[in-house]
Amino acid sequence: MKKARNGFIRTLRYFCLLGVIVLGLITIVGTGGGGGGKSTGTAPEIYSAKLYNNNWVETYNFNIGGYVKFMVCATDPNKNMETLYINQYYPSNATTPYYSNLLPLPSTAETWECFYSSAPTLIQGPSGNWRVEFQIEDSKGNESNIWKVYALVN
Amino acid sequence: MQDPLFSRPINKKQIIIGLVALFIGSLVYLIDRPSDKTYLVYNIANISFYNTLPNLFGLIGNSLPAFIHVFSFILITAGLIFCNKRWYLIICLSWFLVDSAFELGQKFNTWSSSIIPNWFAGIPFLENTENYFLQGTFDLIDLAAIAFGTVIAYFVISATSKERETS
Repeated sequence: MKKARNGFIRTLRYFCLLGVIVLGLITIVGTGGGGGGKSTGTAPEIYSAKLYNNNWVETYNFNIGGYVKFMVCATDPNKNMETLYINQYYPSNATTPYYSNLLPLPSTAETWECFYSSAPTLIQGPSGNWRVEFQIEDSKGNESNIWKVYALVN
Repeated sequence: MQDPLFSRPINKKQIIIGLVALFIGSLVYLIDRPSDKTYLVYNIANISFYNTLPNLFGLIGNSLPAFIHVFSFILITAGLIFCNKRWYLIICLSWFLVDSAFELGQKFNTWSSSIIPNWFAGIPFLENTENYFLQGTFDLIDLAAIAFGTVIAYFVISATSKERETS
C-alpha cells in the first residue's frame, strides 16, 4: 500500500515538474516582447522586380500587340505572402492606375521567393512611358514596400 | 530502484521562495507596465493597476523580470526535485540556458522568427512567440540579470538545502 502511494506521489511530482517547465516557458513568451494583441508578423519586402518579353528576355521596351511577363522577388520571415498587386500607371507620373491587377500567390516554403507571371499579358497601349508598381500583401494584411519599374510602349 | 530525482521529499521552503519571487515579478507587469504591452496581462489575466497604483520598481523594473524569472523557476524546480548539488547545478544551468536562448532570440530575431511553426498562430500563448522575438528588445542588462539570478538562485538553494540536511 505504501509502495503504491509512493509511486503515485512520484508520478504526481513528475507531472508537477512538467507543469513547472511549461509554465516557465509560457511566462517567458507571454511576458516578453510587448504586443498585447495577436501577432501580426512582419510585412513582406520586395527586393527585385523585372519585366520580360514573351521569351523571358529582360526588357523595358515593348510594342503594342506584344506581350509582357514579370518576375517579383520578395522576402517574408513569416512565409505567408498571399496577394500580389500590380498597378500600371500611364503616363508614368500619373497618380491613379490605368490598369490594376491582383494575383493570388502560391504558398511558400522559404522566407524568400520569386514569383513569375503565369501567363503573358497582351500590351494594348496607349504608347508612351508607363510606370508599373508591385506590392505584396501577406495573409495578415501586412503590406510590403512598393517596387516601381518603368517601361516604354511603342 | 530508487528514483535519483525524487529521492527526498519536496523542499517547501524553496518552492515558497520561488512563488513569492514570481509574485513580485508579476507586479512589474500588473503595476508598472501598460496592460497592452504584455500578452499575459492583456489576453489572459485581463487585470492591470497601471496608472492606478504608483510605479513600484522604477528603472529596476526594466530588468527585474529577467532576474526573477530565472531565479524563481530554479527555486521551484529545485524544490520539487530536491536531490543533490549536481542536480541543482543542472537545474540552474538549464534555466539559465532557456532564458538566455530566448533573450538572444530577440537579437537574432529574423532567424528565430523563421523557425516558429505556422500552427502556433491562433494557439493561446504560442501565438505570441512571434511577437516575443520580433517586437521584443534584446538587452545585455537582461542577459546579465539572468546570469545574476542564476547565481543567486544557486546560493539560495544550496543554503536552504543545507539547512534541511542539518536540521
